[in-house]
Amino acid sequence: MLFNFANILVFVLVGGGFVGVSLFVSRLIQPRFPTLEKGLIYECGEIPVDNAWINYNLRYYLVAIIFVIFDVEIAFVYPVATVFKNWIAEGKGMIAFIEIMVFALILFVGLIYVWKKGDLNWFKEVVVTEDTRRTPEEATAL
Amino acid sequence: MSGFDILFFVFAGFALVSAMGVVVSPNPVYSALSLVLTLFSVAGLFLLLQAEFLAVVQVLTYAGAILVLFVFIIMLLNLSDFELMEVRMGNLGKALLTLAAVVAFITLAFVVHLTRITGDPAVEGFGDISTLGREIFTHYVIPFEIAGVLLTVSLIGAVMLAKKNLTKE
Repeated sequence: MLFNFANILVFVLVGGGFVGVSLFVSRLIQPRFPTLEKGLIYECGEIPVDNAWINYNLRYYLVAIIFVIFDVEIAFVYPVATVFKNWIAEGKGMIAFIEIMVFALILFVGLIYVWKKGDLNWFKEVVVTEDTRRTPEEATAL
Repeated sequence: MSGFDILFFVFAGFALVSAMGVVVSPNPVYSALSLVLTLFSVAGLFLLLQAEFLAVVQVLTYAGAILVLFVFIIMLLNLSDFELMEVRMGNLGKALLTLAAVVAFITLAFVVHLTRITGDPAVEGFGDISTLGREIFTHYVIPFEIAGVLLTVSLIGAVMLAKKNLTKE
């Protein structure tokens, strides 16, 4: 069993070695005339503006939290999925199915909760008054 | 020294060095990246202990998803004010913290030394994913469903906490 993971080890070694060797060889044979333009961070040909580390919208964080929870759920379902066929063959498929559905339903409650609370909506409902009404240009800029 | 021993020392060494990097690095983003390396090395150690599923989940959820959250938090703090993030403390505070760390280390080393590890898995072939699935279906059905409840509770709690900050903005 453990021997299978030797493949991954070889893969990691070859992959890492590939990067190391090609960087080393190119360092040996490349001509080097550094200029300011060449040293700039590549940003699709644009001159980079400001720092790349910016404050992201906090709403991404909410989505990321919800994702992590369901990521863990899937991690729980994986081992069950591997044995499910055997259980069907043994005629115990229905029990297994109910067990896993109960698990999924419990988590579905959480999903319904965040859905109902409107946390999945990207745009929160805003009260529009004369002062806060946006021009179409401003709205598309969002 | 067998190949396993060599691999163990390689993974353990990487884990230690990158864990040091997490603490020492002045830049929080580099700390987070070091943490990724630490988690990968620990996943390697899990593999050596034949806990394949644990290793894969470690990489998928910790190195993948949870580190994203960490980087998120780092981005939320204003990175341009590095000086603000420096912890300022006097010599007394540093001495006390060092003492606490040393005491904690000695205690940990003592506990590890005293623990007798038999090396027998709880179930034959436990690290194997299908064995795990079989156990979930038979012996551990109730804990499995309770884990679902726990996940739901943490989902709702986390969203509540995060939203408290959102509405404040």
